[in-house]
Amino acid sequence: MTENNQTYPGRALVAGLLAWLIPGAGHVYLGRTVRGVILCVCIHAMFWSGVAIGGVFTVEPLRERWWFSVQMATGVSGLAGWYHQDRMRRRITSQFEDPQLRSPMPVRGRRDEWWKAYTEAQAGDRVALVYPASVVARAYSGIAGMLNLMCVFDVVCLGLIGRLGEPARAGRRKPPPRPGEDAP
Amino acid sequence: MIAWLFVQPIQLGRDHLWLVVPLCILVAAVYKTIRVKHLRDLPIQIVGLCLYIFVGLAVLGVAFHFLLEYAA
Repeated sequence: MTENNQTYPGRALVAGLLAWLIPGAGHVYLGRTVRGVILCVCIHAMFWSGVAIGGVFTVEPLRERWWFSVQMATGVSGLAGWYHQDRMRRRITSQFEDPQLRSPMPVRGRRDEWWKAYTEAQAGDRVALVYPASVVARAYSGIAGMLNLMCVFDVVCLGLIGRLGEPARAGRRKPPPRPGEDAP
Repeated sequence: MIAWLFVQPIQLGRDHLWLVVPLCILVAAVYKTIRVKHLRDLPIQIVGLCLYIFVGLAVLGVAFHFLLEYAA
């Protein structure tokens, strides 16, 4: 597909949303299919490699808010990781011995006790994420989110300036005919 | 086993620093996929950026090593 310069702000919005939801989908929407597929494979590979290294608590909204915020930039993958983590957190906290601590969120007034019980339960289930796996896992999944933010920015800019499809290849142009020569 | 792969963390040893290599390759691939004008230039651009990152990291590593050994 060649370049097609049509400005359409709605297209930029749709492309940005698609790019956030499924990494690479924004580029596919704008006619850059090969780039979209490469971005989709690389960003998903990076995010899920991180989750494979760090386990279910790689996505951790309670303790690691900054990492969590960039992990959510991977769209559906980040949301799936959050859902997976939330289910595990609810399962772990429902098994606390003290019934007053059985809450998926830290209990007001007994925060330290809740965190202690939560950490011990994680270690008991062998799902606690500790150094060095924590650093590697969050670096992989967080950087995937940051790179997807770059993809979102790219498709929004491409959509706003109306640049669709791959750039046209610069072919060899024939030199203009000299004076006196017949034009082909 | 596949299900537990995404639940329990993997035990990493001291050699976990090597995991920076695939990370750099993927970062270079994503960055250059966005930036490159013509897709036929993509492989060589990715290799170039990977080398640039690895050399940069090595230089930083050596610089910090000397900083910690002799200046601190």
